[in-house]
Amino acid sequence: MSTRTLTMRRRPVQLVPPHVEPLVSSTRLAMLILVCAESMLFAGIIGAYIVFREKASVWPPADLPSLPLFVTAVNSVILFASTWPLTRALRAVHRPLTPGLSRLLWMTAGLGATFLAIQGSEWVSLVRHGLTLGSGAYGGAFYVLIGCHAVHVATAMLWLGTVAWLASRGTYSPARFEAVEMCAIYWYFVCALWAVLFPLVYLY
Amino acid sequence: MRHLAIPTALVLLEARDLLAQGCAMCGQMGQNDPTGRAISVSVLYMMSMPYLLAGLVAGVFFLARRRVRVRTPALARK
Repeated sequence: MSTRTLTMRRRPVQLVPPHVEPLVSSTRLAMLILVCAESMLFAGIIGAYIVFREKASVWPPADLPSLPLFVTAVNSVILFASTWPLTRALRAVHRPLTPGLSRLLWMTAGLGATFLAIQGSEWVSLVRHGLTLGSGAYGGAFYVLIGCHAVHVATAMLWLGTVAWLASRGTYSPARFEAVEMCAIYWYFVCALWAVLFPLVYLY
Repeated sequence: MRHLAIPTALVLLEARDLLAQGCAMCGQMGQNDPTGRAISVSVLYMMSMPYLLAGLVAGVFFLARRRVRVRTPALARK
């Protein structure tokens, strides 16, 4: 039995590369994936709505009420107006002292709540006039599509409320503002979605 | 592979009417059938969504890259 020395080729030790910031942060990437998934969900529902709408010779059906256009148009303006305080909040979070941040976020959530309240009253009125979830393809498609959006607005409002509460406790600073940014992206997405849904459901 | 090209082209040309139907469901429905037209419009819309979303993702990455280059001029020269 012979003993031999194990020899290995020497390789130069690689120095640890310097820390490189990712092009898009993990939180933004996660938000992007969420927005894409949500978009595909709505694309499916809108696709179904288009099938019902294109197939029908009369829309809305003669025995069912038509949708309130003026109230919804005003409501849309309220929702789109909510992006203004949010944009200001996004600017405010980059400043060293962010006294108005919480107020601006609460303002956005308040406008969202107003949108939901008006939509809720509109739904109550429609149900009283006989348009329910069981009113054929028209009622089903309307309530599923608009209801799904309303659920998203309610979720975004809860998120905004939480972020506003944390902002009032001084959680956010110019170095730590990702939560505000992610919440803003979601709110912009919800508003952009309404910009598609309103013309499709109420005007088309 | 070249010797397969002509027979393949002939088969495809011969079967052009079958290919134009797209799928069995679309083939059964006529051009003026409202259900068929509705499904076609919906399919076109649904088909465009992944491309729109891919464009959105690409746009986000493009803007992020441009922002990095603006912040670090040394990278802009590369």
